[in-house]
Amino acid sequence: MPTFQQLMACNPNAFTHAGETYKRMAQGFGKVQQVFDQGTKVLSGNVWSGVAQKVAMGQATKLQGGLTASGQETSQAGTVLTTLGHALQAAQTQLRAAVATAHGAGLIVTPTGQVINPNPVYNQVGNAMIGPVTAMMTAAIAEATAADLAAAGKIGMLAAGKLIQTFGSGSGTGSATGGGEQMAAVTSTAGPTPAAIQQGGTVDHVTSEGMTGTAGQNPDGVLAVTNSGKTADIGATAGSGTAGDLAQVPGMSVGTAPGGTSVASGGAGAVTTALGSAAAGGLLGTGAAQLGRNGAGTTLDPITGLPVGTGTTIDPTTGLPIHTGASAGTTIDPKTGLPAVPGVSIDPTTGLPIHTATSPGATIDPITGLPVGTGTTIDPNTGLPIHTGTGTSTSAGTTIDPNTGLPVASPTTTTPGTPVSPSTGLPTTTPTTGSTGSSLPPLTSPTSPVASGGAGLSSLPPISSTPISSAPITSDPTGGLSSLPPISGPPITPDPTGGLSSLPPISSPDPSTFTPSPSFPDVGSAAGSVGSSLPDLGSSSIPDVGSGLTDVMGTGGDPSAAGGDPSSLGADPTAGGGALPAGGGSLSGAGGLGADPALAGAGHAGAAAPGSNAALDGGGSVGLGGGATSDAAAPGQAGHHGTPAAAVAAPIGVIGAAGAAAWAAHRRRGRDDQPEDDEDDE
Amino acid sequence: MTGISAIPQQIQDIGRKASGLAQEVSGIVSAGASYLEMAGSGNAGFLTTPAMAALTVAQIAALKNLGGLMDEHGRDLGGAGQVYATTEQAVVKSATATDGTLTGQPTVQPVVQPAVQPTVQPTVTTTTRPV
Repeated sequence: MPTFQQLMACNPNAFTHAGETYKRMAQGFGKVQQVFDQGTKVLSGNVWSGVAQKVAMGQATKLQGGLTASGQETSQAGTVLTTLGHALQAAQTQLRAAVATAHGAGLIVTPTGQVINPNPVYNQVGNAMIGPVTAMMTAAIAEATAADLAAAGKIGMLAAGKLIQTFGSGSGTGSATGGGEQMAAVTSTAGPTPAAIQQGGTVDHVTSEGMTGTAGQNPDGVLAVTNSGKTADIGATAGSGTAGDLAQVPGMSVGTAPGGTSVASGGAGAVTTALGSAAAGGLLGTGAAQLGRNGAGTTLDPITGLPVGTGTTIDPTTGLPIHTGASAGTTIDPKTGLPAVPGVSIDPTTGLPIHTATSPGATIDPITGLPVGTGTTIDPNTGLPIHTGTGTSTSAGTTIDPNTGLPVASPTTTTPGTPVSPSTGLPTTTPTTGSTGSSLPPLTSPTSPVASGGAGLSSLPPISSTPISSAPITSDPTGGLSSLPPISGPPITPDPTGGLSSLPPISSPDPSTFTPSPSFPDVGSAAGSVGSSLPDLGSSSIPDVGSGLTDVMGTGGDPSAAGGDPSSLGADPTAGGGALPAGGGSLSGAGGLGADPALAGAGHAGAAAPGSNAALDGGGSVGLGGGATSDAAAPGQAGHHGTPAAAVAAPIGVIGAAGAAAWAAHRRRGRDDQPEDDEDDE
Repeated sequence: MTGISAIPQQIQDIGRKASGLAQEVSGIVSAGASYLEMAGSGNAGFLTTPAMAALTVAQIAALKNLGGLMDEHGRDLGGAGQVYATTEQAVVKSATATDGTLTGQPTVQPVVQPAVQPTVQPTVTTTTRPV
């Protein structure tokens, strides 16, 4: 069975030219036969009579038969080889077309014929083409294999033809040279019918006529089983250059098969040639040498007439050989009739190969040699996979430390000048975007969930046992949440009778005189950073988180639009400094700026993708809990880069776009009115 | 025992033709062998390649053997014709020696005309073994 590489590199024209040569030889033999027939006809007429004439005519008739057989069999051989050449040419063309198709789809075809997508994440077309291309290649190889088997079988039949049987050097003196280097495993089984070898002479005959050969290495174990159950060590015979062992076997019919055809060696007909010639006297050694070179173990199946290799059996269902030997890793799929590619099975439904060597759907990264999952790319620096999809194995936006193999908490660089906590490795403060010079207050509650995931976020205020006022939450007229009213009144005292205690009268402050609490930002950021606290803020703030964040990603690179300008925030994506033009990565990343770390990971992918719009927009990665950093690698590719996204993301993630707008306005107003308070907050 | 008739010249001509044909067979085989041996080049891995190589070797050997047999056949025919002619000449010479009237007058023409003289002169004995 030809391999992918052999079929790619084979020379079908050699077979075609050989076939044409055979046909020209057949034509020559035809002309010779015509002339010879004329002379024979004269001899059979009135020119000559007598016993001598009868003897001469017998010789002439034999020669006529030989010439006829020469013409017919060489013509048949020419037809077989020409057909094979054309079939191989077609198969090779198909195979090369498949390879060209694979290359056109960005795929790599290994010398073994395996199709690999070197870029499975981005080359989706290549992923889709792997199956069809592999199927094309498999079909081409199968066609070549079928043509090869058929041609070899027919040649094996020709090797047992009349020409070789009758004139196979039987009457001449032995001139063979023994080979036998690789004959250790050849075993031929004699058939019950008279052997072809016996028609052209017997082995005894060979011996009596001085069959000699040149001794070579003589591995034993090449056996031929006779009808009587006796065996002859062909290896010893051929190696020693004598036919003694064969001659000693009564009824020796080496490699016979029903119909007088003979067992083949590593190419059908080789043994036939060898032993047939040996019987006729002279080519045993040569044939045996050929047998050795061709590899042992191929015999003609008496049912199919096709050569069967070592460990190869014919599938009665498909009629094709099934390789069962250790070296053969390819079997014929009984459903498809095509050779199964190692590690690849054919899906009976689709007819396309299914990768089974690795996990279904997984492809092998040519760089790392490791299976790469969908949505996973290999970091060229670390050689480790980067989760860019919705994977949850690591935090979104988290890269793997090549030294430790553990996720690194801060994949992106911090803003220069930002102090980093030695304990957490996270920036302790993050400058805000909207208000120059102002920043969110540092974390104050180590136990807060925010503190573990986010950087530069405000902490939750300590939970106090202060009774909650029943006063309704006042809304800011601008549309966003403003603040909680101050709580007043005496603490709730439990009713000693077990009933409900009576609440003290509630005194709500006048909204017109309301003064924002300096600690309000803490409340807002904390609530927005922690998903569990979102319901407490009221349903109106929750839907705003996503939409507001969409703009945040875009505005993350645009200080003029983000945070500081309430009019730029909100539902208008164009005001977000290119959130929509930023591409899918940016948008998905923006969606992840909330409490969902997985979506935030998508945002990281968009921002980190080389050449993507997200990268051009300088979208930063956002960590858990709203902790965000800008993409320091993006600057230089586009104009909007490097703005810390956390400053924008944090408040918007808390209270949504409208709230962020209000918050920004509030911050501005508060800064103008009470600048000292802001400083105190920090 | 049937009678013997032979036209030595024609037998020899046919023999020469057979030898010539044998040389043609040898030429065909020699010319084709070089092409056939090249068929296996670059086609490793195919079962047909070694099978064809073996077939080619066997067929070429058989054809050479056939050509050899044909050449031998032609030489046999030529020898037979020569023997027929020589025998006749010897018989004629012997008869002339015993009969003076036939001295210098051979009874068997060197060139036998088969159409006019289908049989050889009866002076050729039946014990002749041309082959």
